[in-house]
This record gives sequence, structure tokens and C-alpha cells, in this order.
Amino acid sequence: MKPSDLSFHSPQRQSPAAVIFILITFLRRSVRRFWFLFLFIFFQKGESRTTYFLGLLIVISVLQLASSLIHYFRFYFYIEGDELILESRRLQTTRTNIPFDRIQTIEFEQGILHRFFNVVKVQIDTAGSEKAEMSLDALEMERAEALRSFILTQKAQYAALTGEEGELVEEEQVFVPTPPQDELLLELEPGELLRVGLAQNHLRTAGIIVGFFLGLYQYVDEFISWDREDVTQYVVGIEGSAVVLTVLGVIPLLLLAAVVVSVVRVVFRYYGFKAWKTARGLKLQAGLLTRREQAATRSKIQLIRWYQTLFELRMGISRVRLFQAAGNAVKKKEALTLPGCHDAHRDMLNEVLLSKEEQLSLAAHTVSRKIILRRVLFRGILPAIGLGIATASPMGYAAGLWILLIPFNIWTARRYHDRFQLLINEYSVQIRSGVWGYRGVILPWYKIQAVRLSSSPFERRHGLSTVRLATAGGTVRIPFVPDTLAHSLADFALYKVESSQKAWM
Amino acid sequence: MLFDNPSIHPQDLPAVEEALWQPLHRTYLKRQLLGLAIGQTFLLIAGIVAVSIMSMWGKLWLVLGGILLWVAQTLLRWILVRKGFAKKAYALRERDLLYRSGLFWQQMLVVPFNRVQHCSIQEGLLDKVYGLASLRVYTAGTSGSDLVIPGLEPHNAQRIKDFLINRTVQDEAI
Repeated sequence: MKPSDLSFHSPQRQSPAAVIFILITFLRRSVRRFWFLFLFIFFQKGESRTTYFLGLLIVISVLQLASSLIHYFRFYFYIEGDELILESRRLQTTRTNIPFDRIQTIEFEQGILHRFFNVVKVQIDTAGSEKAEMSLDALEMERAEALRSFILTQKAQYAALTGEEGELVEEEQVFVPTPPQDELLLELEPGELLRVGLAQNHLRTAGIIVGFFLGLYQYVDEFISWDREDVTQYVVGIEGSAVVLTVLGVIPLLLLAAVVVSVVRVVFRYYGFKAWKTARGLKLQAGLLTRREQAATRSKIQLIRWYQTLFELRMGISRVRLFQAAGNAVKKKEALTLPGCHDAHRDMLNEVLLSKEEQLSLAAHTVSRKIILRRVLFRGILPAIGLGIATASPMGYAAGLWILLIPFNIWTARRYHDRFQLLINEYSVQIRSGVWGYRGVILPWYKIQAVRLSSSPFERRHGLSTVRLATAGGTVRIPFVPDTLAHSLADFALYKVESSQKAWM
Repeated sequence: MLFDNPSIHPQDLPAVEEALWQPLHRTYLKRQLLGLAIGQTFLLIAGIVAVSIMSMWGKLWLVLGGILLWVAQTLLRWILVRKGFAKKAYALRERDLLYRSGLFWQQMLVVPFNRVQHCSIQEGLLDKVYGLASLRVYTAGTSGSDLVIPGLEPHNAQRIKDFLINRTVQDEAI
């Protein structure tokens, strides 16, 4: 099948493989709804009831298969004018019209099953409408590609026709370039992927693991009530110092587990990672089991954040996350992540996403030293007191060791302040901070939606304010800024937004 | 010249604190105090019911302590509402709308007209008693970037809303 043979003007069905995916969706939904029935069958001793429920189960499955088939055979999609139409002709016919200029992105997703059948799930994201996401369960690769390029070309043509001012431009001037070949920006080799995995924040992973097991313990505890007495006796029986020794023994094991989990997570998520520069922005593809393809138009990206753990800093790589505008709420999954970016990649990304001016050199400012006091109070003194009281009974005098948190935090808070940088130029504001590694954000002024100035009693006593710059892709917070700087920041941000003719999306 | 781009001195920019601040309508204070009175009454009733159910009327010190706590809380909230009212104000400039509030944790939110998505006028039950309305201005920003001005007279709220929509349409036409 050549793309030129593909016309979408006549109603057509999805790939036959779609039946399987529709069925899976139905099954998943009914399992979620009827799981307690399964539990019932499982715990029911009576023979007759079991067969009764088994019969019910079979009936449900047959009905689901039937409805999946109906759903498949009575679902059509086609293009009419400059609209994509999804039509479901079951008992009642529902037609969903999606005008091309409403379509923000068209993304493909490919799980293992999808890959087996060589099909993709097509997700169409329309910003701002009531139903923000529509999808086709399964479409052959060629057909999906053809559909996407057709819609996007039409969309570009429409935009060129109407022009920036909304006036109709003369026919002859309309020049619709054939989409240029996408340029590969970044590709992660397996070795590089492993390095990215090893450079993750393992302490955080360890925290997640501990949290997971604590949660599991609570869950199990609720269902199977242990012999509580036994457990308590066992715990009480151990001396305070023994607890400390046990904890010290467990920590290396936990760290090892954290490293393994981090690496596995990174490999699953970013296996075969590739990023391309496209005509409209970026395209990403990654995933071991489920291969996701994400695309972002330049105008839709509101914020660029980047992160570096201590290890990543040493290796000279960073993770870049691009936050997009998504209707009225930002969904975390809408953020695009590019792991393992070297400085050269970062520069390339900035070149793709920002204008030349937005990358110009910046004037550096810093936050007040008073932020050290706040960080020591909230991260050192208060936790030390809380943990000391909470662990006083099992640890005895050893609980006093928590006091060491305070000098440690004085050191980290000073380092945080010394490394904090607020960089401003005519076109963008950038922040970089971090105690061990770095985290940063780049925000072009005109992407700002609202400006908030606030001050706590402590801040006011020292002539400080907090500035919040809200965008459609998240809010950037700048704490403990001297009042004069905070006010001129706000005034300048408002001036840039209010005098800007550029569309923020 | 394709476009001009004169240099700007930060000192020459209009400063937010110099905006013409408008206080909220006086009756909004009454509306807030009525709301407070209703809330505290419910709290008192809930306390009485709880003590009755647990039949703890005998424990005099507990009951007295509870009442004292309730009185102190009511007084504190009363003072906070009265003092806080004076801090609430809005300002309308040629290109943006401002609202500030907060007694201890002070804040000011500014929404430029060319970033307004839409606006709505809301009249709650208590608002209706005092003939008040609040104006809500929505932006595309994440949570906390919608601007709400309470305690407006309905016709005033409508006027600001019309002005906002007018400005937004003008901006889009440019």
C-alpha cells in the first residue's frame, strides 16, 4: 500500500486488530467494575454457587466479545472538508467532528501487542475542547502515518491561507512546503542508557521502595491480621543499639535495590530513545515494552525545565523536560522528557525551541541570604525535633543523633543559596539552583499568564517577597527576592506580556 | 524599519504598587461577618451534640475549656476578618487587572487582559442577602492563577466584566 493510494474521504474502519484492543479495554473496564464478583467466587465454598457465577462470567465475556465486534464493525472515521470525523453507528449514531485547526498533536503509541500486529494507537489531542482526547485503537502503521501527514499538511495549508492576521492571503502566495525530512537530534545507545540509569537519584528511589513496602505492609496488615502480640514482642525484644545495627545493615541492601530499580525503570522507559527536530517542533520515541511516540509543536511548549543529579553533573548530562499547555489543567504526562542530554544537545534543543534573543546572555541576580534561615528551620531544626520525638522509644539515646541534621542542613542551605542564580534578559527568565546537582527552568516572558507577588510576615520583616510567574505549563516560583527586585521583575514581566503581540500558544 | 524596539529602563515602567486601588464594598465586611457567625454557630452546635452523645457534661473542666476555646477562636477570627477586609482591594489599569489581599500572608495577583480566557460573575447565597457579587477571571495558567474579586456590587461586576471582554476582543483584533 503506497501512501498515495490512501484516501480518507470515504468512511473506513480501523485495522481488524482493533477488535483485540477494544476487547482488552472492555475487559479491563469490567474487571474494574466487577472485581468483587471474582473475590466472591474465590471465597465461596458452595459448589452450586461457583458454577452459577462461572456461568455468569462466561455470559459476560461473550457479551463483551460481541459488543467489541459491534464496536469495531460499526465504527468509522473519515475526512470531510477540513474536519476529521469519527462516527459510531450503533443503536444511536454519534458523530464527533474534529476541525483540523483544533488538533494540537497526533501521537502514536505502540505496545507489544501493537507491534505484533504492526499497528499503532493514534491519539488525537485537541486543546481547549470539552473532550480533550480522542483515539483510534489500532491503525496500520502506513495508514496512521498517511492520516497524520494529511491532516497536518491540510492544517498548515489552512493556516497559510488565512495568514497571521486572519485575512485571506492570495492564492499564488500560498506555498506549502513538503514536510522536510526530520532531523535526528538525539539518540541513546544502550551504553548511554545504562549510564543515565546509574546516574539517577537513588536515594529518592530508595525512599519510593520503602514507601511501597510500608504501604504493602499496611495493606497486608489490614487483610490478614497477624498475631500482633508476636510481632510486638519481637520488636520490643531488640535493644536500641541492635535496631541501629539492623538499620545500618539494611541500608546497603536497600541502596543496591534502589540502583537496580532505577536502572530497570530507565531502561523500560527510554529504551531506543530518539528525538527528532520536525518542521513544527520536536518528535520523541522511546520505550521497551510500550513504544510511545510524542510530538510537540514549538508554540505549545510553555516551560523548559532541566534536571541534573550529582552523578549526571559529573557525567555532563542532564534530563530536559518540556511542559506543554494542555487545556485548563496541566497533565504531568503531557511533559516530554529527554534524558541523557549533553550540553551540545541542550544548545541544539534551545535552538529548536527558543528564538535567538531568548538565548542571549543574561544578567545574574541572587536571592536573599535569609533563605538559609528558612531552609535550616524547615529542613533541619523541625525535622530533627520531630524525628527525635518519634524515634525516642525504639532508639533510646541514639535518637539524639538526629541533632546532626541541623549542621548538615546549615551546610546544604548555604550551598543552596550560594548556587542559586536568577538570570534575566529582555526575552526570558532563567533560574538554576540545587544543592548537589542542578535544576533549572527557562521561561520566555511572553508565555506568562499571570504574576503573583506575595510575602509572609518573615519575608516582610526583611523586605523580601516571593514572585510567582504562572504559565499554562506550570508555575515558576522565585522565593526571597528583595522587594525592589521583586517589584521590578513583576513590572517587567507585565510589560513584556502586555506589549507582546506573539501568541503564547 | 521592520519594527522598532526602544530600550526600556526598569524605572520607567509603570509600577504595580502605584495602581489606583479600589476597596471592596462596605457591605462585603458585613457579609463576611455573617458568614463567620453562621460557621461558628454550627461549630458550637456540633460541639454540644458531640458532648451530649459521649455524655461528658459531667466533666466540667472539659466543657469549660471547650467553651473558652470556642470564644477565643470566634474573637480571633472576628478580628482577622475585620483587619483583613481593609487589606483587600482591586485595581483596574489599562492593560491588566490586579487584586491584593492578606493580613499576614500578603499577596497580589495581576492578570494581563491579553491573557484572559473568560470571566464569570458569581452570586452566592450570602452574597444575595447583601446584594453582592464576585467576579472570577480565568487564565490558562495552572491552579491559583485565576483571579477572584469578591464583594462587588452586581452592576459594578458586570461593568468590569464587559470592560474586560471588550479589551480582550480588542487585543485579539490587533
